[in-house]
Amino acid sequence: MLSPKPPRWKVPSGFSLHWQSWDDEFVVYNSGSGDTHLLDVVAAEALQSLERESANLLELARKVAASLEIKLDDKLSAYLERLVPDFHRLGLVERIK
Amino acid sequence: MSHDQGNRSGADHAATPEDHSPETESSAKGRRQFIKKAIVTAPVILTVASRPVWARNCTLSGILSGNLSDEGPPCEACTPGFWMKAAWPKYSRTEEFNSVFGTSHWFFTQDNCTTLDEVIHIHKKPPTHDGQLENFGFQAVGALLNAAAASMGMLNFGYTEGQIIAMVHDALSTGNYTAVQGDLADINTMGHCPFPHWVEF
Amino acid sequence: MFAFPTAHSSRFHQDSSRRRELREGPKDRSMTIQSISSLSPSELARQLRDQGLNLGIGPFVTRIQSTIPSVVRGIRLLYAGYPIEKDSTFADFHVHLAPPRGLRRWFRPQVLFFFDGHVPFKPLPLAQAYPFFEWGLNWCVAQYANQYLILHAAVIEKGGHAVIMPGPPGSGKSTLCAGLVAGGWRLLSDELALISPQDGRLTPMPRPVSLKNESIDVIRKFAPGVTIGPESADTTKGTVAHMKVPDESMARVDEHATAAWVVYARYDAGAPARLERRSKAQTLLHIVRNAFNCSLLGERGFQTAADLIDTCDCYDFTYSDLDQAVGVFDTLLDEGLLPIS
Repeated sequence: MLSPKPPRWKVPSGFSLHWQSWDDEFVVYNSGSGDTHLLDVVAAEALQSLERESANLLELARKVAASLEIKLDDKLSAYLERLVPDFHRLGLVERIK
Repeated sequence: MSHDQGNRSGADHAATPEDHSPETESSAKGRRQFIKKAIVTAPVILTVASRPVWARNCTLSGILSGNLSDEGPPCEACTPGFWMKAAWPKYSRTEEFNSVFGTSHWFFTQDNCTTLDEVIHIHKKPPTHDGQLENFGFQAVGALLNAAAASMGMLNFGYTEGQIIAMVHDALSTGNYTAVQGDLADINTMGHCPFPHWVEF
Repeated sequence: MFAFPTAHSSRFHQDSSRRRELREGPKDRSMTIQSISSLSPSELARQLRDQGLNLGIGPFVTRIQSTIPSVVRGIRLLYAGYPIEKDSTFADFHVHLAPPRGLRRWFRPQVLFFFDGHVPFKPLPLAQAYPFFEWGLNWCVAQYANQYLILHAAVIEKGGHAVIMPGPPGSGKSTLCAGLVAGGWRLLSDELALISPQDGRLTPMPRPVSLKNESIDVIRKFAPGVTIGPESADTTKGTVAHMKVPDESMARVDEHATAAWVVYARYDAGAPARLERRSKAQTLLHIVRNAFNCSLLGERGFQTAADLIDTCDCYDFTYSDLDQAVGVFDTLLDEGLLPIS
């Protein structure tokens, strides 16, 4: 029996995100919601990745770890597991079929 | 200058976290430590939500009144049109306009515009003169009901019943009702109406 | 999201743009300018009483009407050098200060502030009429000048570099602003930073600098030569007075400026002057949250704020001694502490 596929996430294509960053702090304006957010470097990398293409949590963790040259470990996974639903709640990403 | 000069709208041009200027071995290691620290705790996203301009304390004059750092929840208000149909908080439809607002304006003793219900339905009949008193009454009753709902903790509306009553009273005694009607209309559209039409109070 | 802004602001925004088109470009100041000081006191009072006076204040024309003596006196003293715009058909704002009709005209007398015929605020005691005028005019600009990104901040300039000092009332920014202006810095505004989305530059709108309570005496001692208007006792905030804008700032009212620093100033009794860098990202978030119209301007508002912070160095500044504080600012200028992030 197949287990259900894990959810995939993406920044909606209708939105445009406007980025501004200094050092390791990232500010992003979401023209879809009109909200402005301050993100750390890992959150910013995750969101920019989901802007480029959809991913489930595991794929996202791999991409983020590779980009930032850090280990893909439990800490990173746990972080993303909290982060992505936060993005969803804030209207930054949507689940896609 | 900031190395994010090319950082403008769109993902294509955004500075990405990994393309900062070349670093020495030790600073690269320091950076990894910094990144690792970021994921030790739960993610923190500071958000400034898009708000209506007035939302800081949901009043017309809130803007320069002091505490700019207090954002608060979004403002809420329902239009008089909503209140025509919905159940009313605190006030009975048969109460008299002049009694409620402490006024003695002759207009609100006429046929079909004496009670609060008659005043809020006043547009059902043609205006008797310039229509301004009708509009004023319509908005005034709506604002009062918004304030009443707020006093019950059910609406994030920026005025108390006392303030609305005072505004209406002053407007009618100074004759300024045309101007104040515009303000009441603004106040009554100062936010989203959270109630379904079948709300009970 | 529901449709916003209010009926007022969208109506005015359209009107304001059309009016500017009719204005035929920037005001030509080479023509004979009549200023407030050229009118005799009785002529000034008459014009304010009758048709009102069109006062040129930075980029705006404000028609002012009032019969209230403290308002007339305040305008004569503090707006002496301001130009009178002769074109009587055009004004960005119509402001009228008048006693209410009825009982409160005589008994515990009050004053009402009318803006374009509307009454946006509850009346204040008549003794506060002049501060009400200043505060109300700030409100008018903050609500309706949406061709700019508007920050609640003081703006001063020296040597081609402008400093934006955000802060709520009571933080100490106004006293510092007044001290710096008395110390030779040009005043662009003591309350409202007007930033053009097109080029990020600051538009001056110099107006009398509001001072409260102890600050009034501090500035009198610090700069004995400056003109300070009469004091009004205000029960909520204490005592308020206004410092007249120096002639040098008035002379350069049409000269836009480029921001170089954003400084959050805070008065802390007994503390030595201390300047510390602050996070640009946190500053940008603060600006977005506290600008009057960043939300209203949407994407453009965000980008204007982001570009501003990008080009500025951002500091927290604590001070107690005004001399020392002015010294720090002059050093900032001399040593060219420009952004190196």
